[in-house]
Amino acid sequence: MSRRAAAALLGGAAAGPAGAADVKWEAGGLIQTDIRYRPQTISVGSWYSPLSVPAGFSRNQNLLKARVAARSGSARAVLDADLVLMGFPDTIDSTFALSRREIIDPFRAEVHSAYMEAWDVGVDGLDLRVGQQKVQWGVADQFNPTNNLNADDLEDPLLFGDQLGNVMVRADYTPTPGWTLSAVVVPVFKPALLPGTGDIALGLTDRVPVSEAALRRKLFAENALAADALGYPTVVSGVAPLLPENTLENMQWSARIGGAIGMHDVALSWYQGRFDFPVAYNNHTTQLEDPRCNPADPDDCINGLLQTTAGVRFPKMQVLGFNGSGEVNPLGWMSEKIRPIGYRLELAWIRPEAVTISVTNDELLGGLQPAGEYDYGLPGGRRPTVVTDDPFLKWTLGLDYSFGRHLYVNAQWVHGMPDEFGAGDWLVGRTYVARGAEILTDPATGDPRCTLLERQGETCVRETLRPRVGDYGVVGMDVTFGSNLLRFFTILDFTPILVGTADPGTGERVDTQYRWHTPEALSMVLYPELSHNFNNGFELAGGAVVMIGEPWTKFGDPATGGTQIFTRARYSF
Amino acid sequence: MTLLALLVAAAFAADGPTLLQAVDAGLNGAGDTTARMTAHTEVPGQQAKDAAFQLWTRGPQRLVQFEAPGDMKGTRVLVESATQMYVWLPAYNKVRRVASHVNNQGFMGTMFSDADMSTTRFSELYQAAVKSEAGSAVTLTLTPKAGLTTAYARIEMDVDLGMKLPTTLRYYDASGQHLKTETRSEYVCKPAKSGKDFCQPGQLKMVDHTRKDAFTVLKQEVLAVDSGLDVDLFSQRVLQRGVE
Repeated sequence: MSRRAAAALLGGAAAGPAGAADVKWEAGGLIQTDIRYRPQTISVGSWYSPLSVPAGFSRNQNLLKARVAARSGSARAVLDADLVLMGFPDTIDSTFALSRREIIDPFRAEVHSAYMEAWDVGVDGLDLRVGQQKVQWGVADQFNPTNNLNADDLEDPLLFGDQLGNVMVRADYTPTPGWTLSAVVVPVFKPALLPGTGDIALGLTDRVPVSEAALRRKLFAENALAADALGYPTVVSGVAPLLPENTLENMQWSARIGGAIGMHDVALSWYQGRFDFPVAYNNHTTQLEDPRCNPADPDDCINGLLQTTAGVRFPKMQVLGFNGSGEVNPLGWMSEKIRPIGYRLELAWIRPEAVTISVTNDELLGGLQPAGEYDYGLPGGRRPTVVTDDPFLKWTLGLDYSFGRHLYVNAQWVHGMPDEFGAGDWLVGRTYVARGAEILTDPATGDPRCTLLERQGETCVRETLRPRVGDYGVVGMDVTFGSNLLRFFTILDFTPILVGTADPGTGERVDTQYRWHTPEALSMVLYPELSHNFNNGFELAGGAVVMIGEPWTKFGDPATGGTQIFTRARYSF
Repeated sequence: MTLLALLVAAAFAADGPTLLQAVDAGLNGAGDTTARMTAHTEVPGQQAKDAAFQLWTRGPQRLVQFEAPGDMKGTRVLVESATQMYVWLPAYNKVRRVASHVNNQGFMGTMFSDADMSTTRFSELYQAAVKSEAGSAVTLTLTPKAGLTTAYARIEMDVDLGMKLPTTLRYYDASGQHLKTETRSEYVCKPAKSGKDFCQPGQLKMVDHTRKDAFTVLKQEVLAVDSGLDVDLFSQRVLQRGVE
């Protein structure tokens, strides 16, 4: 190739008078209106620090998407961007705000792609792509443990599996048809974009992120008893994310080789970068004197708050990935009318960076907890563990099949959701994360089974735990009739819940495991959607995403934002 | 019709297999083609559906690039072989392997099945016998060769003896039910690399009698024949970036 392609890549120099003449344009896009409604308010936290996601319209959004590409010879530039009208006024705290269009009618831009690429750059088969882009090599549908170069975009739960564009340099070399070597570097790390309802998790102070069980229970018991006995409940007053410095050392990169073996597509990849969800690494607590009583119950009073600021960061990880896809026909012997079943396997072996947490505080509770770092009592004076450096696996195994013209079925076994991190599953031995806790009381007196002065939680804390990495069954089907599409899928959480209590007589810890189908552990998503395509680019759709489960389960978690009913109108052009 | 043509026609008419082989030779007379196509589908009780796409073929390989409707625009489909198919969905920004069971859904929502679109060598699957003759047209009856499973139990193919190409195909199932009728018309011929003309129908109409005579009309404008399409055109590399 082509000097022109190289020139275009390196600065658009090809757009001189001669080059501009043979630029060809492609353009398209869509306008989409999303109106969603949350039927129930979701609340967490006590009266002194309530957090809630209100019932009512949860999304009232208009989106204009533009996809534009300019192509000249063996180079092109691509833009894929959205202008999003949010549909809800920002906070209006003055009459001045009422005269500000950007407050009354706020909007934002989302740039998914803005890159240049050229092919056969210097060498036949060598392609370069530079700029804001998404690199999504994972072959599974929506659940892609090997898609780690771009951060996850969970802002819209209906677009699960979407990712944020990021600036990258990508090179693909195809020396022979069917086999491609790829390398990507990402100079600057971006964290995952979390759902707007994620803040509600700050109210869940019983989810102590410490792996050492006895210490975790001790920390929880001290917090709970401080609230009950001394009137100083703990609240999370803020979160301080620590992003990695923008240095060469922190640059993400990935390499991949992909091709076909027989009729099967296979790929191996290596990724070096970071987990894009925040992991707690420090915790500092201060005391606020703020005596007040519950407006609804004058006898329910506090003396103040223990305000905790949580530091979170994004630990490093390396991921060895395998992707395979193709088709198999295990039932073909029954009838020649049975077509092969499509399969896709995406497997990630993840080696995480260990994360420990420091717990510090100002002097609290009149000196009961002196200022400084907490005495964890762990061997060697080490800090508590949040994530070990033990490797772990995530995978998605999917099968799909079309039954005639009208029915398509897709089933997947997902081991590990995007936000799950660290070793701990049925395969390598379960380690758990806390999903809830409460103080056990004496049934006769109602008093806690331990006191603050004992500074332990073994005999008085009931914990609800969940393995770090869960297993999920995802089954979806598309029923097509005429220009209508009925789409239904469900995600069923097969992960057990462990409840740990203390024997009232002996004080010994007693664990009870609840399997996925029990009321304690049952957790699922139901997603029915009916859409009608007018066959001219116009489409109307409506449906619901129904979250089922107790608050400590994956999908009953308040931070998911709960059930929503949605409508969508879209015109594509 | 010249005397020679009549003699040739008579010779073919007497020999179904030879005529079918001639038809296959005509259908596969080019190494590659480039065409722009439109598809108009009408199903009783539903809105009509229109699509426009470009199609590149090279032997069994196909690359389809949609231009309309808007929700399909930018979608590309690569068929490397009967069991290796890929789709590029711009909304998902990724290449997705699709298994051959999707052929159960028909060819892109039209009345054509994938078998209808991909069967270009009938003589490999069917044996032919002359059913009737009328002027310059001969009707062949095609039945599956022993040991082969085919999409249809019987095909009646009207062949224009001048072009040695099919003008009408009537498809039947094993019970004798008339399933579909395909009409190929408005043939346009272009010189191929072999030195002979390569003729393709400007219009293909498929009527599905099992669906209240729902039909699809494919109109194709053949842009190039034997232009030497690069093998790389039919690759995932090109599938991602599209064709100018």
